Amino acid sequence: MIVYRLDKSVIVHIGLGLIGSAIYKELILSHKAKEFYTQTLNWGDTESCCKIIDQTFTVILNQSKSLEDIELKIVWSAGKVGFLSTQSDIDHEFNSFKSICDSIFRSIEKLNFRSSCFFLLSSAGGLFEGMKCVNKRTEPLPKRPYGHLKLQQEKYLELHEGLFHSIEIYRVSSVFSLNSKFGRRGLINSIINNTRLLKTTKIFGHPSTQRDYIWDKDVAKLIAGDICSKCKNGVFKYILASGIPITIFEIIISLERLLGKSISLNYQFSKSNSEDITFQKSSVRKAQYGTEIDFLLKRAIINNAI
Amino acid sequence: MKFILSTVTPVYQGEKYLHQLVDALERLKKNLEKEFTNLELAECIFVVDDAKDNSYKVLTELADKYDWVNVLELSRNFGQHPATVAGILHSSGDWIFTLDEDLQHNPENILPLLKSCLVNNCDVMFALAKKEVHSSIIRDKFSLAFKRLVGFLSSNPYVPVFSSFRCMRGSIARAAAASNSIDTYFDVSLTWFTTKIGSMKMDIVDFRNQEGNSSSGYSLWSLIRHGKRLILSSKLKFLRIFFLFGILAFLFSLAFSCQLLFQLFNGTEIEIKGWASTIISIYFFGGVSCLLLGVLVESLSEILLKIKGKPSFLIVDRSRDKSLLKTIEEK
Repeated sequence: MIVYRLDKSVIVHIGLGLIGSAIYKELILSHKAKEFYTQTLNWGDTESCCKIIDQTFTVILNQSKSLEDIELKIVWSAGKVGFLSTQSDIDHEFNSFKSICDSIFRSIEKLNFRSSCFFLLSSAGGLFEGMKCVNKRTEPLPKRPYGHLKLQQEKYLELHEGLFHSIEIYRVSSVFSLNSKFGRRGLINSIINNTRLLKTTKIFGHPSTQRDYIWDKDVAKLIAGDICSKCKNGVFKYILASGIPITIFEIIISLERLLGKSISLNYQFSKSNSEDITFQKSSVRKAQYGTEIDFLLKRAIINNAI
Repeated sequence: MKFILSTVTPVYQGEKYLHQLVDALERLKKNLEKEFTNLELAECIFVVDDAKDNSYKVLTELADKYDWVNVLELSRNFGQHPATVAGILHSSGDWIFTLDEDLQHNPENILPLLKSCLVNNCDVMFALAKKEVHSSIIRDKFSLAFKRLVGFLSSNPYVPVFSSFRCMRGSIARAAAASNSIDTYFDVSLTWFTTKIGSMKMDIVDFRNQEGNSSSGYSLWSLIRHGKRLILSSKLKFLRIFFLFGILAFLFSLAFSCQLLFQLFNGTEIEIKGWASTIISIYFFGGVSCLLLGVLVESLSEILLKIKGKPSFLIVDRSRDKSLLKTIEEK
C-alpha cells in the first residue's frame, strides 16, 4: 500500500501487482505524485491490515493542515485470485476486501474530507465470460467464483456510494504486459520465449477463442489520468478494452511472420478456458494510446530477447 | 447460448445507399430480436476504403445513432478484399456476412443464406445472382469465364462461385483473414481452410444500373489487378505439365538412344550422320531442363503460397450448428 500526495489530493493505493505497479509508475513519473507513506499489507492477516489502514488515516490527518481542503482518493488494484481459484480462496479474498473497505469507510465517516472517490479495478473477463459483443447494456453473468467475486466487490462498494462523491469501476479486459516479473508470463511472452528456446508452448484454449487484449500501460495511463482529475459525481462503470477482438490463431500467425519461424504449440482444449469474451467497440472506454497489437508483439519480441 | 451474427461491408462510394442499407439491417436486427431469443445481429462493420464521396461522414453519423454500427477507416485505398479482411478481423460473430454497400445484397437474404449453409453442412455459402447484375453483359460473362478458367487451371472447383455476398463461419473467416498477406485473394484463402463451400442463387439487383448510374468502383485496370490477385493466390496445377513433359522427353531420349545403340551393334548404317545424336541431345537436355523447371515451379508455388499465408492446418468447432439450425427452423 502506498499513499501519495498530489496537489490537493491524497491517494491511498492498495495493491501493486501487474496493473497496480503500472499505475504507480504512471502516477510518479507522469503526474509527479509524491509518495509519503508506504506499508506492506499481509493478506493472510486481515486484522493487521485493518490496523494499518487506521494508522494510515492517522498519518494523513497528522500530515495535513486541513482535511477540508483535501480530496481523498482510494485506489483498489489488489487481488491474488484468478480464473481457476476455488470458492474458499474467493471467500477469503472477499472477506479481506470487505474488512479493509469497512476500515476505510469508518475513517471517511469520522474525518471530514472535502471530497472522496473510490477507484476499483474489476475484471471484464470474469464478469462477461463466454459473452460476445458486450455493450453498456449487457448485464454481467459470471460463470465461475472469480467472476462472482468481482461482481460482489462492485456491489459492496455501491452499497456505500453515499460516502463517496464518485465511484469509478474499471472492468478491465485481458491485460497484456511486457513486464513478466509478476509470476505469470502471459500467453504472448510465453510463446515468444519458448520459440526462442525451441520449446513447445502449451495453450489452454482453442485457436479460434476470441479475446480482447489491452496493454497494461494503456490501462495505467487512463486510470492514472482519472485519479489525478477532479472527483466526478456518481457511480461510473467502464469497460477497458480495445474493442478489437483477436483470436489465438491470429496472434500465432502474426508472431510467426514477425519471428520468421514456425511456432510449436500444444493445445489443451479445456472448455473452461475456451470461451470467447469480446466487446462492442462503441461501448469500450478506449485507452489513451489504443496501442495496435502488431506494435505490442514487436515490443514483446524485443523485450523477450533481452 | 447466444449465436452472434456480424456483417462486414467495404465502402467506396456508397453515400446514396448507406442510410437505406442501415435501415434494412436495423429491420433485420429487430426481427431477430422479436423472433429469436438466442440469435442476434450484434454488429455491422463498415470499412471505408478511402471513399470517393461522403460515405465516411454518413457512417459516423449512423454510428453515433446506432451503437451496433462500427466504422473503420483505412488509411488509403487498399481494395475491396483488403477492406473485407480488415472488417472480418474486427468482428466477433459466430457467422459473418459480407455485403456490398449499394443494396445489391439485401439483408433480408441473410437468414435464408445462413439456413442454406447449415442445412448443407457448409462453412461458407456464396450467394449468386439468378440473372446478370451489372449493366455490362460483357463484364458479367467475362468475369464468369475468367473465373472458370482459373478454376480449371488451379483445380479449385470453387472459384466460379466466388462472390462478394458471403455467409461464413466466423472462426474460418477470421482464420482466413488472418492468413492473408498483400495481394491474397480472400476467397481463395477461404478454400485453404475448408472445402465445405456452397452456393445459392438469389435475386441480386444493381441499383446503380437501375438508376442509370452505371459507374462502378472498378476500372479496367483495377479489374485486371483483381484477376492477377486471383491467379497469384491460386496454385496453378497446370504448370505441372512442365514436369510431365520433362519426364516424357527424357524417357524418349533414353528410348531413342537404346534403339540407336541396338542398330549400331546390329551393323545397321545410320542414313543421316549427326541427326540422331543431335535429336537425342535435344530431348535429353530439354527433358532434364523441363524436369528441373517443373520442380522449380512447384517449389516456387509452395513458397509463394506460404508467403500468401497458406497455413498447415486449422481446428474448427461445428458442434453448435445443429442447435442453430433447429432454432431457425422452429420459426
